[in-house]
Amino acid sequence: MNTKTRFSWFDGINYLLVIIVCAATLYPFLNVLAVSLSSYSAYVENPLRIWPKDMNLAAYKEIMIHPVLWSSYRNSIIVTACGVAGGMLLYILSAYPLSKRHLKGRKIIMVFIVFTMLFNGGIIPNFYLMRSLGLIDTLAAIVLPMMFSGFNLILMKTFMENIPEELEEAAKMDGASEPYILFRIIVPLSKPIIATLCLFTAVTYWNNFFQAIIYIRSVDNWPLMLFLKEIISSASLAAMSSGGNSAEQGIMDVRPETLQYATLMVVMLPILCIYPFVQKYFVKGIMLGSVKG
Amino acid sequence: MTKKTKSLVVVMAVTAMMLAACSGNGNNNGEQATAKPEATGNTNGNAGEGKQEEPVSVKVLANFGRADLTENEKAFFQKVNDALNIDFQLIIPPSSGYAEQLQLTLISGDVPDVVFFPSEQDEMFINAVRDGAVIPINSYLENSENLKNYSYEHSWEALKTMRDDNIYGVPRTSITRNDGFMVRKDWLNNLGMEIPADNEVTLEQFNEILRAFTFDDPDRDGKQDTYGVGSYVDANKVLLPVLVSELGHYGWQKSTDGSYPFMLPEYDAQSDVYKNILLYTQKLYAEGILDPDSPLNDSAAASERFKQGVTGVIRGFAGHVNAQEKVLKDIDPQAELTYLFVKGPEGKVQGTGYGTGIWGVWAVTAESEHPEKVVQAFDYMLSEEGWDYLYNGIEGVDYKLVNNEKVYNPDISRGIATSIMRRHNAPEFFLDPTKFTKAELDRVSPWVDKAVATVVTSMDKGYVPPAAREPQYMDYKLTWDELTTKIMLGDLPIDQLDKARADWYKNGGEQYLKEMNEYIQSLEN
Repeated sequence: MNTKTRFSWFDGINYLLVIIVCAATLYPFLNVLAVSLSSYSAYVENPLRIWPKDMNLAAYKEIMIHPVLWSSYRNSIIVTACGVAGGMLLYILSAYPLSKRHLKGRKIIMVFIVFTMLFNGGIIPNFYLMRSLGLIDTLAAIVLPMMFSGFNLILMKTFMENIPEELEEAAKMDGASEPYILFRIIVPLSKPIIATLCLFTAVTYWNNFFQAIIYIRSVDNWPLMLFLKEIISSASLAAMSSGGNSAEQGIMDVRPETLQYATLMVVMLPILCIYPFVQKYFVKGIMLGSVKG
Repeated sequence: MTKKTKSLVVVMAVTAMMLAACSGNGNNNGEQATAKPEATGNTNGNAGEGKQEEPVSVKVLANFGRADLTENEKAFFQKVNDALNIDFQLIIPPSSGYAEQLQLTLISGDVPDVVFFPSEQDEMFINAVRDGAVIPINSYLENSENLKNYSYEHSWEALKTMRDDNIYGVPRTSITRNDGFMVRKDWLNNLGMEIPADNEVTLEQFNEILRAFTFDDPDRDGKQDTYGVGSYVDANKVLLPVLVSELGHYGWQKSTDGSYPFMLPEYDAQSDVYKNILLYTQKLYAEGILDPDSPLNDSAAASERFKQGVTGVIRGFAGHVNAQEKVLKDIDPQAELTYLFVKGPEGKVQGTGYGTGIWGVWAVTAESEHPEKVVQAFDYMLSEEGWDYLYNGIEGVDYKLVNNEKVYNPDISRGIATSIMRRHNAPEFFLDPTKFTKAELDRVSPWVDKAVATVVTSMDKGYVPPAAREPQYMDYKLTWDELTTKIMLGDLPIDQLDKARADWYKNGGEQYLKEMNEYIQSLEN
C-alpha cells in the first residue's frame, strides 16, 4: 500500500487559511502581552507591537498593588466556585429524573425549561426580584441568576438518556436506592459531560460582569471582570471627552495602556492556565451529549 | 453511608454554606452602602453628656472615577460628619454601570437621600423632577451662604428645571475656562522662535509658528514628518475648528443687524465670523498644516499624536501642561512645553465660556427625611473650613507641617473628595498641591488664571429650547454638521454655508432662534 502522501493545492490553501485564522487569534494576545511588558514610550512608538521593547514589569507591579484587584480576584473565585458547584448540583438533580422516559409530566417540564431559554423577565423585574430577596449588593446576586441554564440541562439530560438502563436495573436488583444509583453509578459515568459543563459554567461566571453592573454597589463585591471594565472604561471616558470636560474627568490621570494591558493579562491568567487541560472536554462533551443512542 | 457518598454530601453542604456566605452582607440587607466613611459623627466626645443627638444618616448615590475611598478621603468625610453631626454615606456603584444603577434605583422607589445626575439636562433628571422623585431645595438654600457665594448665578437658573422658581438640586460647579494651546517649546527653540512673555500671540504669529512647525523640520530629524497643529472630532464626530473665539466667536451675544436681538454666529447671515472659522481650518487642512488624521481622531488619539511628536500644537487645558510634559519627556527627554493664547480680532485674549457652569447635580430626593442636613453638608464643603479640608487636605493625614510649609504625603489621592464640590472662583483647584512643586505652580498658575479671567460667557447659559428636540431640527442638525465638516475639509466650497443656513432656518431653525431669544431676553429682564 502506498502510504506516501501527496501535497495538493487544497491542502495548501487549507493550511494557509488555518495559519491566517491562528495568526488572527494569536495576534491580539501577543500584542496585549508585548505592550504590558513594554514601556509607555515603546507603546506610543508602535501600539501594534508583538515584541516587547524596553521590557519591564512596572505595569504588573502597579496593578498587583491595586487594592481592588485582590478583592475582585477573591470575589470572582468565590462566584465561580459557588456557581459551578451549585450549578452542577442542580443539573445533576434535575437532568437525572428528566432523563427517565416514564417520568410523568416530563414533556411539560421540558416545555417550561425551554421557555426560559427563549424568554425572560428582563432587567427591571429581575432587579425587583433581587431587591425583594435582599440580594442587592451581594455576591449571590451574581451567582444565582446564572446558576441554571436550560441549554446545559438539555446537554446533561441527553447524555444521561444514553446511559444504559440495564445498569440501573441491575443495581436496583441488588437493593440500591435512587440516590445511591444517581451518585454511585450515573454521576461517575457522566464525568465527561460534567467536566464540559463545569468548564462552560466556569468560563461564563469568570467572564461575566453584567450582573455585577446591575446588582453590585460596593467595591468590596466587585468581580474581576468589573474591575477590568472600570479600568478600560476610564480610558474610553477620556476618548469621549473633549474640550472643557477633559479637565474635570481627570483625563491626565487615565491609566496608560500598559497598565490596562497588564490588567488584561492578570485577569486572563487563571482561565489561560485551566484551558489547555480541559478544552478537550468542550468538543468531546458536546458530541457525547448530542447523539441519541 | 459510603466514604464517597459522605464526601459528596460534604461537598453539597459546603456549596450551600458558600452560597449562604455569598448572600450575607451584614445586616443592611444589601441595600446600602459601600464606601461609607468610618465612625459616626461626634458622639464620642459628648457621650458623657447624654444630650448628643444621634447623627442623621445622609445616603448619597454618587458616581466617581473610582469607588474605593482612601484613608484621607475617609478622613475628609469624617470631618463633614463631625461638623454637622451627620453620617454621610457614599454609595458608589461601578462608574461604567452608573446610568443603569441610577435608573433602576429611581424606578425601584427605594432611593437614597441624594442622587447624583451627570447633567441638569439629563433626561433622567428631568423625568425625576417631573415625577416628584426630586424635590425643590429653595427653602434650604436660604441659609446656605457658601453655596450661593461659590456657585455661578446661572447655574441656579439652569436648575430651575420646570421654569418656575423652584431649584431642583445643588450644582457641582465646573469652572468655566478659555483654553489656549499647548506648544512644543523645544521645537520653538530649535527654530530660534521666541514667544512673548505674556504667552499671548497674534493670529499672524500663531500662523508663523504653525507653518514653521510643518515645513521647517522643527524636530531636526531631517524629515518633513511633522504637522503644525492637531484637532479632533467631538462626541458627535464633528471636526472641531482650529480657531473659534480667536476669530471673534463668543457664543450667543447681542445681534448687530437686529433681525433677532441675540444671535449665534453660525446662523447669522450678516456676520462673516463663522465663515472665517471654517475658512481658517479649511486653509490649514489644504496646506497640510493641520494633521490630516484630525477628522478621524478623537481627543485621546489627537493627544497621542501630540505625544508622538507628530503635531506641535494642540488645544488643551493649561493645568495639564505639566502632566503632558512628563509623558512627552518619557518619549523624548528633550521635549518641553509652553502654553499660548491667541489674541482675538479686538487685539486681546478672549474665549467663550459655554454651558451652565454645572458638572453634575446633587439632587435631594423625596425620600430624604432631612433635606436640610443634605443641603447643609454640601454648603459646609464650600465653607472656609470645609474648603480648606477639601483643597488643602487635612493636617496629619494629607500633609505634615514642616517649618510652616505643607509637606504632602506622596501616597495620597484627592480624587473623590475633590470631585464632590467646587468653588467657581477657585481655579487653583485644578492644580493639585500634592502633584505640583512650587516652581511648577508658579509656571502654570498664570496660564490657568488667564484661562479663567478671559472668559466671555455665552448668553444662552447652556439653555436647550424645546425646538432643539424636534425631530426635524435634530435631523437637519446632522446634515449641518456634515456640511460644515465637508467645508472645513475642502470637499465643499464655502458658498455652501449660505445654503446650509437657509435650509437650517427652514428645518426648525426659525423656531429655535425664537425660543432662544425669548429665553435670553427673560434672563436679561
